Amino acid sequence: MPFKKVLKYRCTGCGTCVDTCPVDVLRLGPDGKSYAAYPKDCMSCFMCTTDCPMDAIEITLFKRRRTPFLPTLEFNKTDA
Amino acid sequence: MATREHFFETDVLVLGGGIAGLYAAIRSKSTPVDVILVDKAFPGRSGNSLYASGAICGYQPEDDDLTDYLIDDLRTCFFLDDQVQARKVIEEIYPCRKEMEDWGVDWVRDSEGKIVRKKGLGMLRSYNIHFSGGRRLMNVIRGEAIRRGTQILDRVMMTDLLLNRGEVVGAAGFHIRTGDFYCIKAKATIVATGVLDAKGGQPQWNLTGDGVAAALRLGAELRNMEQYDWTMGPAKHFDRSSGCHVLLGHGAHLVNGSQERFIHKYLDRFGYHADLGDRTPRNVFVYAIAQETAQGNGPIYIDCRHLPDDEIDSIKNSIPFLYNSWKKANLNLKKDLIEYTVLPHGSTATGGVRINEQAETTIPGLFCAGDAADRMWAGINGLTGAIVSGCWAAESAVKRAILPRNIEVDVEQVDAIKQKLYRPLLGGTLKTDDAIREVQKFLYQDIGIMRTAERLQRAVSNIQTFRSEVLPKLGASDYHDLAKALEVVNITDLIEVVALSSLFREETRYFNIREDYRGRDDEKWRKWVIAKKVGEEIELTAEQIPETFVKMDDLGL
Repeated sequence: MPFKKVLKYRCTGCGTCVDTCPVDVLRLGPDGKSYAAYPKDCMSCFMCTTDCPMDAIEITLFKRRRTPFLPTLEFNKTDA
Repeated sequence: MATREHFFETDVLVLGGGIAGLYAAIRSKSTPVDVILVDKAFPGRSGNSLYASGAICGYQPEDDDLTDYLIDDLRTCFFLDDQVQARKVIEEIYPCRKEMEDWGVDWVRDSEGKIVRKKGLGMLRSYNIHFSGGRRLMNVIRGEAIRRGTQILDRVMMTDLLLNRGEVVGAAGFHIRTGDFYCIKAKATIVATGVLDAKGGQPQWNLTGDGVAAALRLGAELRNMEQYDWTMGPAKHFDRSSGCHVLLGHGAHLVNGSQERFIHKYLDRFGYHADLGDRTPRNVFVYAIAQETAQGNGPIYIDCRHLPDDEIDSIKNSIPFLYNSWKKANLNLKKDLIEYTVLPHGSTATGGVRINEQAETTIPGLFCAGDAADRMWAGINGLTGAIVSGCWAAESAVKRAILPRNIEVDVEQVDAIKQKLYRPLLGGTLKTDDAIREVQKFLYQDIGIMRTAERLQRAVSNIQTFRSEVLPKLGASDYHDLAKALEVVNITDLIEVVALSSLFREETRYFNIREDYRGRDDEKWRKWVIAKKVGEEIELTAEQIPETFVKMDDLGL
């Protein structure tokens, strides 16, 4: 899964990632810091990592796309 | 948490906060009208524009002949574009480019400070100019929209357009986090909700054709839906951009697993110029990559190793995020091959709500811009068309909204929408993620790239069975999930139109790649496929494409 984690020791709870994630993965938790409420929805667009002022988010860089599109190929799952 | 209802009234309602919607808001706000812009996510970090790999049409009236650009456009899309609209897009991007520069967008310049111009995909005599990727662009555009006083509603998914006495009078939907119901009455409504995709391709995964589906359900005409398109993109290390125009425009090659170039083998299939090298229109390299991979000659790579240093530098400036993700993966464009694969796309070819050159749809009060429209600028590029059509939509919407007008919503209609909207929350045996996988199979495999009547008919049958028997069982666990459930409904409605339109067009033209009708039939099919929902059925008609400025014969195809 591409979404790894929020580094709690760096996160200041500014909410930038929560505001901007296009697919609503992130929310602010009861500890005032952000967390991935819906990690499976992450599409590894890197908006959160680039917008985070504290560099507090880790997304895996290496993600093989699923390739179900060619009619002769099997419908593969992503592995990330 | 108790959910609330919110009612708004405005002059111009913009659905969608990508570049088309934001630009429409910006232009509308150069007049005294009120503008509300609604987005399922966060305008400025929403839409395909965010992942734009840095190219817009580079037409400059002092250096270029407009007809050269129009001819390149029409050759690329095999005459599918409306010439009046395509010509207007080419002409009007130039003043937009000037104002974007004033707002803070930087074009990539060479060491002498001159704006870099490159021939992009399918371009023999026309040029693109480049900017440093979608993120910076969207920062500027969002900033300008807010500076001018656009009221923005984030995280609100509008699910239905409101119709009263044959006119669109606004839209309704819900907040995807709080679940609150939103009803917005407007004198003019602009759909700018972007392209259709099924949450598995290049477009970001909340681009599910919501506005197009809402317009379809209202009886608006759609056009060219069979042109659902594909692209290529990095197979592994990426940030969702593909960089096609930029990489191929700078002279990169596509090579197969044996490091041989292969595009030239497939030019005959479509009849394109060998002069383009690898800078072919997307349908050609998509088909070529699909065929090479299917024949076991994969994987496919982008090869920049032969490029001089200044070209590599220019690439780096034009697609900085993509370049950096490769750098982080220890990939050096000068030494390494970058694996690329085929992906669903959406921003190039046409297919969407039918508009004219004033962005008017076939329903009064409803306008459309960007990738949600049928995009009669497919041979130019999606971003350019989104910007200019956003301007058209603004002008038309303001013209309508500036007049005093008594509009009323149909209260019963709003109530019915509210009842239907929240229903999946009552429970269901089908989970949204499973439903998404099903529609992905229909679109990516049954319809797919290389199509046949047999598979398309199977697609139609699968989709119709899915809608009537499986979709009623769809359940959602919370409001976030409810948004996904409603997205599946929209995808289902639209991919049926894609399959039916593709079956209807019995020839290969642009992205309607029919393996059972391998040639282009200009005599019978130099036409647009129009789709319209009439009752429960989709009605398809074919309309002759006018040769307004350029004749088909002049293209030398």
